[in-house]
Amino acid sequence: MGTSTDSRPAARWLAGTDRIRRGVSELPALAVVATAIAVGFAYYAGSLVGLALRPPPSFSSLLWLPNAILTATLLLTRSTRRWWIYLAAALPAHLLMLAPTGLPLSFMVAIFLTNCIEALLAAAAVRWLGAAPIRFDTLRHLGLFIAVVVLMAPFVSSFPAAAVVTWWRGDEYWPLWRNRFVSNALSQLMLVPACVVALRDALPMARRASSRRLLEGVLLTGLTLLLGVTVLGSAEGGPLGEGPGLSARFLALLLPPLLWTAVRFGPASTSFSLLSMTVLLLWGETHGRAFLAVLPRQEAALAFQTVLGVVAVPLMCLAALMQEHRRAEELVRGRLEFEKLLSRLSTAFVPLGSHEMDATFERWVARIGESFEVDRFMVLLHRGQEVEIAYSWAAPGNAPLHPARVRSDYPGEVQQILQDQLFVIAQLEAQRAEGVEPAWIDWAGRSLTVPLSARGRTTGVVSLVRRCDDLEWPEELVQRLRLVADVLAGALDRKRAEIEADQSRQELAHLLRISTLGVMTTSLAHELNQPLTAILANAQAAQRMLARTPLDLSEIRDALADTIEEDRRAGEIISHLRDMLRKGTGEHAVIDVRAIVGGVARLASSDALIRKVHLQVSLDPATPAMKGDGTQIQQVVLNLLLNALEAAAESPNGERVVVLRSARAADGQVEISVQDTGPGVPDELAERVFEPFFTTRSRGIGMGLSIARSIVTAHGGTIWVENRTGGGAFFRLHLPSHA
Amino acid sequence: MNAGKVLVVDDDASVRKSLNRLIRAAGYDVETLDGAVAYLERAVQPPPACLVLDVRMPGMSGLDLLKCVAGTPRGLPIVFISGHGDEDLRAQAIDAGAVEVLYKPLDETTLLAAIDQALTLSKANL
Repeated sequence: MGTSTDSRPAARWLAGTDRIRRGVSELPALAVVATAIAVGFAYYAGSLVGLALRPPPSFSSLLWLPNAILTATLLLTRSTRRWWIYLAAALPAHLLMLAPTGLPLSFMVAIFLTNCIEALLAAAAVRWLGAAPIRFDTLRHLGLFIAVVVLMAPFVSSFPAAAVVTWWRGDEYWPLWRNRFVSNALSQLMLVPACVVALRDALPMARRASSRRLLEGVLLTGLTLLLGVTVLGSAEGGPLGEGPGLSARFLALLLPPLLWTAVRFGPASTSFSLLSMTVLLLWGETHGRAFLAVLPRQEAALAFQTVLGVVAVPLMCLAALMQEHRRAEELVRGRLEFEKLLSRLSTAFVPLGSHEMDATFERWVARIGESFEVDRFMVLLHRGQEVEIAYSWAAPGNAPLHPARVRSDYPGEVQQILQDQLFVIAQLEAQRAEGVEPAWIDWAGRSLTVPLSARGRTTGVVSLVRRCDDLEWPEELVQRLRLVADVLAGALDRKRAEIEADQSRQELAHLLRISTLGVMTTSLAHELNQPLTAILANAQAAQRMLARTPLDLSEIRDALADTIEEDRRAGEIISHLRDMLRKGTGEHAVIDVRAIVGGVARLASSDALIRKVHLQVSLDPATPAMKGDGTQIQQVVLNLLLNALEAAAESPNGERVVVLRSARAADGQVEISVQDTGPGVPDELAERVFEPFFTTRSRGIGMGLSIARSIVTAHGGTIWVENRTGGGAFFRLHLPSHA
Repeated sequence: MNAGKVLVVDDDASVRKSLNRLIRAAGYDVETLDGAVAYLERAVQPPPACLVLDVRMPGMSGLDLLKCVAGTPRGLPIVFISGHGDEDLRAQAIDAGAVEVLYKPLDETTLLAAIDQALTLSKANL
């Protein structure tokens, strides 16, 4: 009886941005048969209860449940074709139940037909009024339910029902009509909400309920039952001589738990409590434990029914109001929480560089998944011809998602994504039945997917997956997911733009490194010539020693050892050069700043020599490590150093000094500085020197410092120039240290 | 062979050491110094007969030293060695009276020939 069905074929994906349709699979034939059997049983059981609550002389039961069971069945069944199946399934139960009475078949069928009329009237009217699937959670919904299902359907169907009985038994028509109407209305009122909610919503509700609330529910149920039994016990011993006073006081005992239920647990639970108590009390009433013993039996029963109705309707209305109020409160709280989430999400990516964004995405995907209370949340991105799971989160207890490619599995859906359409993945189990094994969702679930679009381009989707077949994705949730998707799309777009900018910066930096090394040819040749000279001289000396007798082996050994040592030195220079010429990967690793600065100093030492500049290198052991691209940092330092050497060379010989330092800045950052004794940088140019194409020299294209600044900025650092008090420029850079 | 002492002046320790080894293996008396200033400040005993002098050195360059000592008792025949081929430098050095300007890495035969030439010149000047 649970899952409703739809005539639409299974696994059709649903499009449409403003209205979400749900694709619901056909209920398998086996499930229909099982549901039909369950309906038959329920009808039979309901009949037994109804018959048990029948005062002996009366033909009418005080609480006739079978009709309410039929009504609940139809209200829970979406496909009207199935209505007839389920109604027909109840007929054998009906006949079986009435068989011992020896009534003629035509009479039994006629009575059954009037029962069906009641259920059909109720369900059809609900559908006709657009209130399907029926709900009880607001005063309006409850009012509609009372008007249509509780009043109208029993009211109308009681005419033919009473007529059949009158015609057959010759009983008085109006009392029959009145009794049937009241007992049916009462059972619709008490059974239908409990039944519908229990079968349709109880599981998801229980799943979401906190343990405190579950405990409260258990306590309340226990208390209600205890009180019910106590009250029933108080009426024991047949008609009470003292009249209704004592029992009425006991009856009043039942009100607090009912009120508690109404205030805390909504109309459906209230109807269930009412139903339990009513069955209990009516059973007492029909089995000699009368509460209204002063009245004749039939009158007492009617009075009792009326009292119950009079109590039940306001109670359920109160419950609906409280639920509405609670829902509104939850809605406001939910909205506020979502707004908070969204505003935090909006700012989360702002201060981050592209290389830090991945971890933040992972963190936020988890937070969003938790906040939406789903089982999975994932971001799928369009990469080339594929769609890949870029980030995903699974609630505890869900297996991690394997990052399969989805385009080949879902070509049509991916096309929809790329056309900026929304779709909802419905029953995946149905697809399994069709032989389609979804590769990327390995269990039954329902997903809601919206596109990720930034600047008019759809780059992927975000997808919520709920394991439980909750049937509805509320419109509000869709809107929220859209907002989240917008923010994520913006961040992803910025990440892509930053990666692109990073790549072009790396390429430009690489070109500049090549050009810098080109400028350094002379000094590099000099630098490399020193070890080569030593190697050659040592080798030649060794050769001469070998020609001599006696052989001085220790001398020869020394010469060879020195040759090897010098070869190593030359190799180091080459390796430094290779590092500088390598295209950066952009990968950030932990860097030993002193090693980098020292290496640069060695590379430029010949340049200093040629320019007759005294190069002082001071590498403070307290210099912190940092995280970044070593080649790029090396390039920045080399650039500053070569500029300084060139500037210092403008001073008279003997006054040419460049000081290269690495240290720990006062705020704990890495400080690298280069001071020279050159002409310095005029104050008005202190910022312009970092602009692209700005140069004061004849050679060079004026990109060195501009690239240096962009590299330093991309590393989260700052670079600036000051003038030394004694003249000359003082370039300083601060970079975040790595703890 | 006792043609007089060769003094190698170069700032690079390994170059100094290796040239010392080579020239000594070729049978000359050799001594080394790490810079032009050291040459000016320190009296080498016995006095050298010729200099093998690096052009580029921190502080005072080889060429500066040549200009400084030309015409003085310290003004010996000089073989210049240089890290890179600069024709201007060569012309300047030859003009200033250098025996030869050689480029690193040094060819053994050329170097020893230049040293021989310098020592001969040194003897002639005596």
